[in-house]
Amino acid sequence: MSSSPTTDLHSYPDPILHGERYYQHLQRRNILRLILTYLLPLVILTVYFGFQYRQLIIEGNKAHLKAIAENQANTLDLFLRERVVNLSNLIDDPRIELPPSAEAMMNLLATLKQNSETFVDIGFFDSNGVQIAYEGPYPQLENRDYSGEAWWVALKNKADPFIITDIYLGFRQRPHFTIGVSRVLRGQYVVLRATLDPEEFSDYIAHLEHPSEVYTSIVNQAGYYQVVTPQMGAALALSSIIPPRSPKLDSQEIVLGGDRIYYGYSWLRTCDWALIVQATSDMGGGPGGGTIINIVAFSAAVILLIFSIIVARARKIVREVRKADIARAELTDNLLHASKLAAVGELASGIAHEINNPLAIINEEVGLIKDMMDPEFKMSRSLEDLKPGLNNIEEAVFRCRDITRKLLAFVRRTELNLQTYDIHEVIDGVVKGFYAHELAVSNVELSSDYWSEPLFVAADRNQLQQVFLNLITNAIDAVEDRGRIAIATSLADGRVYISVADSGVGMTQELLDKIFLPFFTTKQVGKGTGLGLSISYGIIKSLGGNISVTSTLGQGSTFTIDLPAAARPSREHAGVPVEEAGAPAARQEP
Amino acid sequence: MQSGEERPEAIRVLLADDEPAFRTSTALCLRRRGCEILEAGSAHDALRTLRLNPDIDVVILDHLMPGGAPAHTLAEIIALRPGLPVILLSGMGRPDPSGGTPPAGFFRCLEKPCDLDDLIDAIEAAARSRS
Repeated sequence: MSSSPTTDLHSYPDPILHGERYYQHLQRRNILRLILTYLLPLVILTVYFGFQYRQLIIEGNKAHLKAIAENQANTLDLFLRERVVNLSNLIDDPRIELPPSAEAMMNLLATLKQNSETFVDIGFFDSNGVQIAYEGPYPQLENRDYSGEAWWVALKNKADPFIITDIYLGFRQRPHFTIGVSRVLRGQYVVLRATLDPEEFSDYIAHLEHPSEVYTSIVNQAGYYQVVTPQMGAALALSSIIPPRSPKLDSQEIVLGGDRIYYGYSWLRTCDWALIVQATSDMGGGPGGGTIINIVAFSAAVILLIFSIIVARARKIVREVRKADIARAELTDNLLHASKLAAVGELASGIAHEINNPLAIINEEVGLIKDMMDPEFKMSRSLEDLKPGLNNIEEAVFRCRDITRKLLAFVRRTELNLQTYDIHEVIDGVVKGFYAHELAVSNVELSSDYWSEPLFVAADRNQLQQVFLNLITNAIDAVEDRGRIAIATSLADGRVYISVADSGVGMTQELLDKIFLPFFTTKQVGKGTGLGLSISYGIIKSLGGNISVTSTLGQGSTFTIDLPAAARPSREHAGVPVEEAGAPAARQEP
Repeated sequence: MQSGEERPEAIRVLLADDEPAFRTSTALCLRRRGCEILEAGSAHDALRTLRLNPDIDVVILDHLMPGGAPAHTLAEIIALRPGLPVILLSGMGRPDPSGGTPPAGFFRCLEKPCDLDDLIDAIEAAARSRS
């Protein structure tokens, strides 16, 4: 309350407590605000880091797959190269017979099998492409002409003196592949060829490194499986993964049947095969899937925790606000009540006069009756003679009662009761009820210049009375002994204007600035509380109105109130005063 | 009323009060006690009566009356009849004792409602002060 007491005091626009919906709305707004403040950044961070982490995992996995593919391809290259070297060694042996005898062929095959179990058979071809010597499980292939076979043509046209074929069925109708080396020996183009068993080869590949992490398969240039694990497909079937030719070594992702699949590949150097490694479920299905799920679950738990804290916090805030509202409403109520008491206090001397006069009459009448009983005065003792005096006493008693009733009605703590009142009737009630005598005995002239029609406002009668009581008391104080007070009303733009102008001392700008501050008063110590105008301000603001003041020093001040105009009330409510505060005042006049 | 003291003649009192009931009954009481009472219902009335009756000894003046602020009426009475004792009847408690020096002629202030005997005492004391 230190910097702007007026604002704080007057910030009780409606002393009626807010409804339940207001607090629900407040709670929702609070929760939303707290979520935006605390949860949203957290969610964004979680998603961002989750995504980043996932990318990292994917990149890591891809790099891992690529490394495996490279390693396995190198191993495979080495293996194939060794097989080529095995064959080359045989043909390059200077002791080789041309053409080799059956016994020699047996020895050659034995040597090969010593080198690798994958060798199945061996054949020797003359320059015409006829297998002139053969050793192996398919003796019917001996003397068969291979000159039309693709591998023969390819080898013949190839710069390199060796070829590794794709796996094919061939004359023997069994999947196999062939390594052929060509030489020109003693002026003769010859070819030594061995076939390899893909099953043995496949076993070999299956026992390459990381067997549990990846499925390894080999496809040829056309995309047909050469070697494949049963989990992925069948040999010579078309692979669903066909790695690009360039780069030679990489890892890729493709979507197959709705699943995102990561694989690493490496094209072999020894032949036109690509080695493909594909993650098994042991690698986590998706890349880092388990970890991602953990992160999401953990984040969800944290978010849930924060959310419940937010909800609890918002509830608490709303509870506090509601408590503060109730306290403020009570405080406002107390303040309003105190201000009423203060207003009555300011009227005290006038009220005392009003009560003491009838008391004096009673006193005198009692004196008269006593005189009648006093033998000294030798007066008539007829009861009939008492009557005028008793009537006077009775009248005086009722006058006192009316005054106290009026006071109590004003001071009584009343619930706010917003109804539609004719402002003229309210003002007249205040003027007649509280100032009739004071105005009659002073040189203050009060005039009313009312709008031709009744002007209705929705307000609490008691509060309106209080406002006008304050304004008129101030005006009377301002004019001191003699002067004029003019009350005028008008209607413009749906608002009711009421001005209370006095021809009093007026105020300086300095005073005007402070006039609505609580506890600011120009009256003598003990006479004014300085609450009247600040309370009036609060009341008028709470009714959706404004109160302003203009003043010229030495010429007087004008207080202007504007309130929203209300419709003329229906007949049963019209002009019926809530309290009898104003009504008995009329009877008070003798 | 002081016993054993003889009154050479009735004290002439101007009773100025705007309450007719109070004025009538007070006048009646005072007349019974030997005062001669002139009544006035307003400040204006009071001043006129005072002008017409130069032999008035004491004025009883209601503190608040139509037709003039109390200080005004009092000042006019004093101006008209300097030294005339005035008994003020106040319904608003005693005037502030520190509120300036009482004007000359102002005699006593009684609180309404006042004891009839106090009023008689005040009237007699005021009348004595004049003689």
